[in-house]
Amino acid sequence: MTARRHLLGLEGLPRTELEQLLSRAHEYREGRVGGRHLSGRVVANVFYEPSTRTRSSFEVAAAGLGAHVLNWTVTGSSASKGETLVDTAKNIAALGVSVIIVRHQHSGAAALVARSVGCSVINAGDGQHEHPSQGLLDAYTLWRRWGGVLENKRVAIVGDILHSRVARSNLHALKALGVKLVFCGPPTLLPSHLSQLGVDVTTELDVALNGADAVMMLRIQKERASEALFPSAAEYHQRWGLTTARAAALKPEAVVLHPGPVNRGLELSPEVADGQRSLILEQVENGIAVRKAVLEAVS
Amino acid sequence: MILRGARLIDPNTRTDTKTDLVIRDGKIADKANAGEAVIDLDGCWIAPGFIDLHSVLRDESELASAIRGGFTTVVAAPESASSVKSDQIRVLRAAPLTRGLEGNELGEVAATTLCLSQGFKPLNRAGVLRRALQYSNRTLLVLHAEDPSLTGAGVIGEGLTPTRLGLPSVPVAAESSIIARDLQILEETGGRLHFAHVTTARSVELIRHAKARGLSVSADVTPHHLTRDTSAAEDYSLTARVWPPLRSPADLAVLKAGLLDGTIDAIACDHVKVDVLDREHAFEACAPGCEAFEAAVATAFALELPPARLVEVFASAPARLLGLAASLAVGSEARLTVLDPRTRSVRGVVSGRFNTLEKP
Repeated sequence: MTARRHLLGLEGLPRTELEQLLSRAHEYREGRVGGRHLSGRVVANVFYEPSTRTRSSFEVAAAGLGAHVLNWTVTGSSASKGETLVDTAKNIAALGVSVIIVRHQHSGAAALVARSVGCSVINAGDGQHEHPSQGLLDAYTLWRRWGGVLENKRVAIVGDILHSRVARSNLHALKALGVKLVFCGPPTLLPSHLSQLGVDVTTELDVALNGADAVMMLRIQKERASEALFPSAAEYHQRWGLTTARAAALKPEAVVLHPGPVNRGLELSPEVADGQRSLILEQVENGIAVRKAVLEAVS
Repeated sequence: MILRGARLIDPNTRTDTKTDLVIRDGKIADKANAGEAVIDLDGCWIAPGFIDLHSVLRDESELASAIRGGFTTVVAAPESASSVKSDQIRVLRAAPLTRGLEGNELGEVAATTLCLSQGFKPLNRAGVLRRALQYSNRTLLVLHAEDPSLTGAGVIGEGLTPTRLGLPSVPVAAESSIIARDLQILEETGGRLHFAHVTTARSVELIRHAKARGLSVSADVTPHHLTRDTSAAEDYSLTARVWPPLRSPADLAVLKAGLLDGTIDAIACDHVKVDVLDREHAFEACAPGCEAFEAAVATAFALELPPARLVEVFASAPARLLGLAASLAVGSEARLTVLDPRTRSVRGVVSGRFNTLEKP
C-alpha cells in the first residue's frame, strides 16, 4: 500500500491507487485482515459542522484499528472565540495526534489544515468541494456489487450538484474507474462549466435514468426552497425525486444509492429507500471498511 | 538637482522628448545653477507623478509601498484610516458618497471635496444614486458596481476552477446589471460617474456604448484584474481572494482591450492590506484584498501599453478625472515618476522636496 500522508480529495488520484484502496477496503469488509495498525495512536475527529454518520463511521473504523479517538468539538468553543482555523489545527496537532479528520463548512479547509500541521489529514467534507471517503465508499459499494468491474457502467447522480461535495468526489472517483456519468438536477442546482469535466449533464430526470446501472440520489436541504432555488419540496419530488414509478422503470438490476440522511418523500419515495434496489444501508456498512483502508493508508 | 538624459513623456502636452529637467526647492526650474547635483537617468522615462485613484490606507507603512510603486499621489478610499498622513507624498481623501457608506443618506459635500466614493460598498438603492447625481453636479462619483442579491455567498467569478474547488461564484450580472442601471440614471440626471475596479467584458461594453452616446462616465481597472483570472484560485491560493471577484480569461482580454482603446480610463491599485490573522481561514472566510501598489507598473509594462498611454492611465487620466494638475511645466510643483523601461520598473519618484532618485 502506498503511503499517503493526506486524503484531501479524489481529484487526480490515479486509478491504481483508487483500486488499491478499494481492494484493501474489500479485505477489511470480508474480514480477511484484522490487526490493530493504529494501536497506541491518537486520531482526532475535528468537526466544524454537525455530522453523526461520518463522525461515527470514522470513530468505529479508528477504534477497530486500535486507535484512541479524540472528538474535538468545535462548534461553540474555539471557533466562536475567534481562533483561526490554522491556530486550532496547530493546537490539535500539538496534542500528538497522528491523524486529523476534519469536516468544515468551507471549501479548501482540509487543505489549509494539511498545510498547517505535520500530521496526516483526512478530509471528511469541506464546503462544496469534496468528501473523499464518501466518494470511495460509494465507489466501493458499486465495485462490490458489480464484482470489481465499473468500466462502462452508467451512473446517474441526481439532485443538488451545485452544493454537493459528494457529487464532486463521486465524479472524480467514478470517472477514473471508467464509469460513464450523467449529472441531473434543477437548472438552479447545476454548477457552471460542469460538462467541461467530461460528464453528461441534463435537467430531465428520465433522460438521466434511461439506461442507468446505478442512481445516486443526493440529499436536498429543504432550506434551498427558501433561497428560490426551486419552488417547493413537492415540486422537487415530482420532477427530480426517485418515485416508485420511476424506480420501477429502471433496468431490472439497477441499484439506488444515497449518502444519507435521506429525506424520505423528497429525494426518494420511502418504498424506494427501503426497496430491493436500495444499497443505502450497505453504503453505511461499507463506510467502515473504506475508512479503515483510508486511515491505514495515511498513517 | 538635474535629472539628466531621460525621455520626458507628458501626454497632456504631447511631450515626448529627451531633455534634462531641473528641480529646485521642490519645483521644476528652468535652468540649472552651477554645482547642482546631477542624476544620470539615461534610458529612463520621466512622467508626471502617478496618481492612484482608489486604495485603502490602513497604516503609514503602506505609503512606502506606494512610493516604491511609483505613486506621488494616493487617493484614500473612505474605508481608510483617517490617521494616515505623509510628508513625503500627497495623500488625498475620497469623501463618503453616502453616510457611513450605508447607501441611505447623502454624504456631505464641501468646496474642497475631491470626489465622492462608495468605496467597496454597493449602492443598493437606485433612488439614492439619482439624488447624489442631481445634487453633486460636477463632483466625480466613484461607484462600486455590485448587486449583492446576485453576489450571494460568491467569492470568485464563474469558471471551471471554482466549480471544481467548490467555491461559490458570482455571476457577471452582479456587476454589469448595476452598471447598466446606473448609466440609465446618469443619462437622465447628468453628473459624472466613475466605476471603480470593473471586472467584466459586459461592463466594458456598456461603458463603451455610454461614452459613444456622450455620457460623462469613466472607469478604472486594477492590476490584479488585468493579470489574474479565476484559475488563480487553484489550490485555494489567496492571491485570488480579492474583491471584486476575479473573472474569466475572456473578460481579461476585453479589459485589456478597453484599457488600450481608452474605454477604461485608468489603472487604480485597489491596494488593500489584509491582517495576517484574517488570512488564516479557508478561502471563503478570509478577508479579501491584495497589496497592489508595487505590482501596478510592471502590469502596465506587461500589457505592452504604448509609453504615452502608460503615462495616461497612471497620471494624466486620474488627474483629469479629479481636476488635479499633472504637469512637467517650469514653475509647477515637482511631482514626477521615473520609470526604467529596460527593467520595466520604477526608478524613483520626486514629490516636492522629497525624492527617491538620489539613493537608488
